Amino acid sequence: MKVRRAALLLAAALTAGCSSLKPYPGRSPENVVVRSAIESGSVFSSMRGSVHIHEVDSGCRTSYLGTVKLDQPKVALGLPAERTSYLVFAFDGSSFLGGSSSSTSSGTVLKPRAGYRYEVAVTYRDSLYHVVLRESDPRNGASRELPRRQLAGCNA
Amino acid sequence: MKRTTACAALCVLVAGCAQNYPQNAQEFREAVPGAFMAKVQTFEAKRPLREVAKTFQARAPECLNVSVRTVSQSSTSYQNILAVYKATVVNNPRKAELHLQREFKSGVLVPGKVPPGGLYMLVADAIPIDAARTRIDIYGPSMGADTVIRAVTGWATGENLGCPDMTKS
Repeated sequence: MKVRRAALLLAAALTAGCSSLKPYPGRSPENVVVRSAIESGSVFSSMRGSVHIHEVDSGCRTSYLGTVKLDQPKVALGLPAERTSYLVFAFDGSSFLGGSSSSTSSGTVLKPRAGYRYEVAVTYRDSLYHVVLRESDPRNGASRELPRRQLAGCNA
Repeated sequence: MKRTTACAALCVLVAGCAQNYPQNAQEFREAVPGAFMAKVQTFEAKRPLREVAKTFQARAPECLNVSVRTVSQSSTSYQNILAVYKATVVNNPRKAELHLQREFKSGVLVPGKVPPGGLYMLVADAIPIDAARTRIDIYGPSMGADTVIRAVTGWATGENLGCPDMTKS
C-alpha cells in the first residue's frame, strides 16, 4: 500500500514536471494583449516565451500569481486596474543534444489605468529580443509607448 | 555553454594567460589588438554622436545589466554557472563609451585579480566623424560574443534596438 501511494505521488510530481509555475488565472476585463513572434530555434534547440505575472505591494515586494505561455501569436490577459503588477517576459531555451537550458528575461512594472488597454509586442529573433509596451485609450484612440519601469522604486 | 566557455577562455587569453586581467576599459582596449581570439571592429554609423550616445544610454542598462544562469548536464557532468553582467555608459561631447563586464558568481573559477564589476568583455567607442556620422570601434572577442556585438551595432546604427539574449554570449 505504501509503495503504491509513493508511486502515485511520484507519478503526480513527474506529471506536474516538478515545476513551481502555475497558470495565471483568467480575469475580466482582459485589458492586456500580448502579441509575440518568437523563433522556435533550430532542429536541435527550442525557444519558448512566457510572461510571469506578479502582484506588487506598497513596499515593491512581489508575489507570484501565475504564468501565461506565449505559444500563440496573440494572448489576452486581465490585470487588475489601478494596482501595480510586475510582468516578467521570459525566453527559455533548451538544447536537445547538449542537455543544456538557459533563460533570459525582461521585467517591467505596470499599473493599468481603468478603461485603458495595453498591448505588448514581444519578439525574439536571431538571439535579439524586444519588448515594447503601449497604452491606448479606446475612447479617443490615443496611444503612447510606455518606458520599461524597474521594480526598484516601483512607486516613484 | 560552448560560447560561455569560449568567452571565459578569451578573457584569460586577453590577459596574456596570466593573472593580469585588464583592470579598466583603457587597459582592455590596449590588450585586445594583440590578443588571441580578440579583435577590433570598426564601422560607420550614419547618425550623429548625440543620437548614438542617447541610444547607448537608453538600451545598455536595460539590456545588459542582467544575470544569466546556464545549467548543463550529461550523464557524467553537471555545470551551473551564474554570470552577472554590468554595463557602463560614459558620455561626453567628444565621445561615447559603452563598457561591458562579466562576473562569474558561481561555476567558474577565475585566477587572478578581477576588477570591480567583473572581467571586461567588450568596449565600444563612438567618436564623431562629422555632424551626421559617427565612427564605432568595438573591442571584444572574435568568437562567442556575436549576439552582443550585433546588438551594440544595431543600437549604434539605430537599425535594431533589440536586447541581446545574453545566454548566447
